[in-house]
Amino acid sequence: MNNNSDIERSRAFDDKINNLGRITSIISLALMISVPLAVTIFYKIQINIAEIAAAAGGLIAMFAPMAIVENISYYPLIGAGGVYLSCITGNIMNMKLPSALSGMKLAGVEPGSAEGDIISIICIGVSSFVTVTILMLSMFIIGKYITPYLSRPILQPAFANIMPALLGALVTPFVLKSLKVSVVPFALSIALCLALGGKFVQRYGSYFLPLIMLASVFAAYCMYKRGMLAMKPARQGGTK
Amino acid sequence: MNYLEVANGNLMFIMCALVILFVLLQAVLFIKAAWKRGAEVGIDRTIMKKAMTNAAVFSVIPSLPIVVMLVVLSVNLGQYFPWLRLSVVGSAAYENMAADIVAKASGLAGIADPGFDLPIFTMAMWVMSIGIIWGIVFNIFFMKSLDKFSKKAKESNSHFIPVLSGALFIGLLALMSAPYITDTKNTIAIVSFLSAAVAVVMCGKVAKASGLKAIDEFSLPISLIVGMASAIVYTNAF
Repeated sequence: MNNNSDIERSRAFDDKINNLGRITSIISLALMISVPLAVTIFYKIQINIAEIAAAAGGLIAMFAPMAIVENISYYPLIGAGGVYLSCITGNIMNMKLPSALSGMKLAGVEPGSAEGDIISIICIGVSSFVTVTILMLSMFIIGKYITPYLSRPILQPAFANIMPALLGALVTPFVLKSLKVSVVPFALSIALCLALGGKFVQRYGSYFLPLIMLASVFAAYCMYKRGMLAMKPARQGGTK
Repeated sequence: MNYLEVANGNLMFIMCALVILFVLLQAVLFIKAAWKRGAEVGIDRTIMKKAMTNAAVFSVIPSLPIVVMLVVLSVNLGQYFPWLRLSVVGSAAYENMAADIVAKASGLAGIADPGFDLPIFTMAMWVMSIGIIWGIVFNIFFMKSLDKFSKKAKESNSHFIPVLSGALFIGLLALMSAPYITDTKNTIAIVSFLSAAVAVVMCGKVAKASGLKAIDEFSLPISLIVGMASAIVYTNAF
């Protein structure tokens, strides 16, 4: 597994993904900006750049640091390819990350491993495809028909609670598998919520994320060093 | 000219469709590259196919509220621009907020204000587009270096890596879960969380006992539906 040509191939794949990611990100970005640009030019609209900057400034100040922190936090879990893809289509926490992680669990590979990154790209790509397709169908055909059903009051509690349901389903197998590692991050997060209020933590979650992640890794590292974590050999399940 | 004529016009449709088609192409290119590499490192094709099916089935459910938001946003922003915004980065909450900020900055009460006209609509499009692209910008400039750096670090610490990513993941989930499980006023969320948790464990057990692996493979969508359904049951029972 560790001879030179394997390492070279793995580097070549990483380079391919990074180049593909960069190029497609630049093109998507240019295309996204071209939408308002086309309207501005075609309909000869006088736009006030200072006003746009002022209105966008607040949003940028709020979302840019969040985006950076989130990307760095998601990277070890879904790999570079997964981050490139999911940043373009969004809905990371409620869709891209869960589908990648459940794909990795199904394939028996660890997040952060080379195999994990491959599975994650496949799952996130498929997930993007499905959302975009559903939205396309909704706009053209089914939206008018299914919205009245989806907005029925009886279904509202279900849609309002997608996140807790999703988290319950995601978190439980991992916590049961690694109880010791879970203690510190859960204790800290719960303490934060009790001290500052859940709403506050939710709203500024991106800023607490590095703190909790670092604490969690630090605690795991200490346990690992002391041999408290029963080390299974790095899993190679799903590969030959 | 009424801004909705522009918002629902042909130019708008073509521009939005171009972006969306490119996004689909991007997904296909990535999947192709990963599939090829997966076969190369010896991941079983049936496993990759199963992962794909699982991702596709699961993604339907969280997409449904986005459909509703699409219809809601279309009322004030026309059908094509919300279609684009919700297909690419962004979320219903963000789009609403961004459009609202622009409307208020222009002296209106909100996006439903009758004074919302074509220049304001155009400005809203600019602001909505610019405000949310920073994750992509970060990736363009820094992701490659981050990837290179962390791959190097991994080579020297290969045994700790599974522990590391596990700890990062649990940290993320702990922070996401804590606001729900500590909010004793919103018991519905706690009920959904717990029902989904029980369901996912049960899926594993039932799959083992019955030999029906599919139950375990689809445990995420199954548990998600159980959690959401329990919210309905709980709301109506209490």
